[in-house]
Amino acid sequence: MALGGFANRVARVNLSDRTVSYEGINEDDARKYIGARGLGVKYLLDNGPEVDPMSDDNMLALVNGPLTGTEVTMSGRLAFVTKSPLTGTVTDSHMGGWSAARLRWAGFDAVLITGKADSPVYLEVEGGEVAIRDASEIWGKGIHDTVAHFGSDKGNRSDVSVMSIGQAGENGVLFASFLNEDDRAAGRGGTGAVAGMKNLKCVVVRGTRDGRWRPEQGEAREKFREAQGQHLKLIMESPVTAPSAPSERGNLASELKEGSGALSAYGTNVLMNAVNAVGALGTKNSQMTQTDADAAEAVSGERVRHGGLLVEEPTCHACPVACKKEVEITEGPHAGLKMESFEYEPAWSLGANCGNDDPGVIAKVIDQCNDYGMDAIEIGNVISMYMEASERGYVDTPLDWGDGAGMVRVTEEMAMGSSGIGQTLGQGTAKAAAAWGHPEISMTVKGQAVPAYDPRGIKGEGLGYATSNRGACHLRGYTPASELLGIPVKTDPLEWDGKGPLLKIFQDLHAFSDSLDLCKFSAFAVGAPEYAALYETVVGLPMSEEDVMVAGERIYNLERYFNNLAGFDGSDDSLPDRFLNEPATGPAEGHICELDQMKEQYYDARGWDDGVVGEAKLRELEIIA
Amino acid sequence: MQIRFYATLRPIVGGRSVEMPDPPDTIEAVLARLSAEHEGLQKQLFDEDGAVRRFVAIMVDGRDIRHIEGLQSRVTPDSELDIFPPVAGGASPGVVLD
Repeated sequence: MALGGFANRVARVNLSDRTVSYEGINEDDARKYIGARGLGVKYLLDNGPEVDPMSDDNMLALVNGPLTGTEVTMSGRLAFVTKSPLTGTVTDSHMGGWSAARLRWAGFDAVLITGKADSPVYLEVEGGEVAIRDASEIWGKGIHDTVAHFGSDKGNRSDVSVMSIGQAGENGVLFASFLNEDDRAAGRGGTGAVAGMKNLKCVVVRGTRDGRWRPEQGEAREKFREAQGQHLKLIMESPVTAPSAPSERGNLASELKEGSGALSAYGTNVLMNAVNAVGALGTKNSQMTQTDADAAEAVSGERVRHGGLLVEEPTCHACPVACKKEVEITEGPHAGLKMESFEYEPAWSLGANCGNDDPGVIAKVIDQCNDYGMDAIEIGNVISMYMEASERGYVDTPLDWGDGAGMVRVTEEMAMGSSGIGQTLGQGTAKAAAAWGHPEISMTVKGQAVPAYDPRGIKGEGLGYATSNRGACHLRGYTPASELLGIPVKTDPLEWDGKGPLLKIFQDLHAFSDSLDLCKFSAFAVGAPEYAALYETVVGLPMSEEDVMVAGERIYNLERYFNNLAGFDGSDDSLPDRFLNEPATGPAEGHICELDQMKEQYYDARGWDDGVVGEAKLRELEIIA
Repeated sequence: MQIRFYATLRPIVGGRSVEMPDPPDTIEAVLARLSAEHEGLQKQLFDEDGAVRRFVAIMVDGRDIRHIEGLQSRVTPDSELDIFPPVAGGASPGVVLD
């Protein structure tokens, strides 16, 4: 194989007969689908889109991109791709940290797992070989204990990475996740449930930087350094991503370095106040679209940094931004808790969405998710749905808005399946609401719960949720960049017209960067030209800006093709009635989400017929011959 | 009038918000007064040509002034102002639209 960046080695693991075989990367597939997300979806398509997600036949694919583990800034991402038991669609969920790089350094582009072991196992990956080991000693443990068992640690303090499920995956929670090194999650879509069904506890990877891809000497090396240099320069200078200097803990007067990017200084949770200010912060299961300003402030990124909660700012492989914020809770029943991943999405889902403004409760439940292995977006939604069901008298054992102790308790019951309520909620927001006969209080799309942008206050996100190929998701096409920030142009969050073509651009570009696999936050500083230059100088194939967008479109259509074959069509590109018929409150007062009008524009831009990608489009994009 | 600041702007103004009694009636005049009172703020809000920096968000009652009348947007003593530096936490394209 002539393509640079790749290890050209893929392991196929069949857990049923406990065999491992090896093969190279299919060069034609790598050219068309780039890597990670795109290549992973192709493996899933070849495995069959009609398989039952919770059957032995489903595939769990761990796939790197051609840039993974190189010196390229933000190249520390790994895609988990499978057919989701939560949505029935194909899904890909990405984790940061160090596992992705270490998997590449251990000699692999991908590990493809099928079958089901007859007893708990884990995979050990090292030096281009994969071994299946007995996991009976660690089955039943949380992720923190599993990581400690193998001596894994963050960054380069160890040469071993552990990607593990917790008890939630073992117990069949449909939104169970994989995490690595305690707190970096491939959070969405239920990849942990698929692993648990297969009796797969974790993947342990050993590798050092000696195994990384490096450019050849001479002109190729110079071109790579030029492309990487420009990429890094733009990230270092962006008003969003420019690294901040450490500040004195809890001291408002301590100055951040001049020019610090807000993402670097405050993490993703810098969005809490901004989204609330425009009236797009779903509150009490999205019955309202704005919470009290003090309630938002209490759990915001500003509170974490300037309110004495921030204790450390860890990073991922090859990333100077350090958007991760480790906190220590200082008061209340969870005082002393140190945890990472106090991100905007779970801070919203467990905060305003549950009528809760206690950062200690948010930190505790996120940490439970990081240990039990559960999606911290879905968890807040399923709890808020339970709270609304309680308020409306739909359940016998109610949970009140803002009941922090109850939130912690029910989270444990979900993970462990230790109560009837826990078992019901563990099937996810949509199935639980349906089981209670009230699907209208489930804020989900294709069975997956919505993230932290109410589509009545940021309308492009409504279209993004509805047309996402993996169920409700903000990361398929992040239109708030345009609707809030003005990247690439400022569009009005309360205007629906034009959001169809806008969303397509975001979706296609993100599909490409997810396939490289670069952190999406790179896109606040760089774009298609820089992605093209990096691809060219690492992989060695010509790539223009236009090629980037075409490849992204191909990958997005490949996913849609998979879903169409699995039985999905335009009727599944929907939103909960609440967003379509119940007007917003706050600054967006009176607005609903005009989904049908946006969908029409979007399908026109995509060339789809009612959500179905046709044969002509599949041929045009070379998905079929 | 209460003017709320966020993220990297807070260390510059020394807190979450600033009170402005008897405010002028346009955003442009409000920002000029704020810039005069808080060293370093002007550079964060305006570029060398005096235009509001590209990704800075200034909101009057929850509406970005880019969707009202820009710097000429009207305010009253009862208006709520929120001023954000470039903030983001999801992802974006960084491509130029046709």
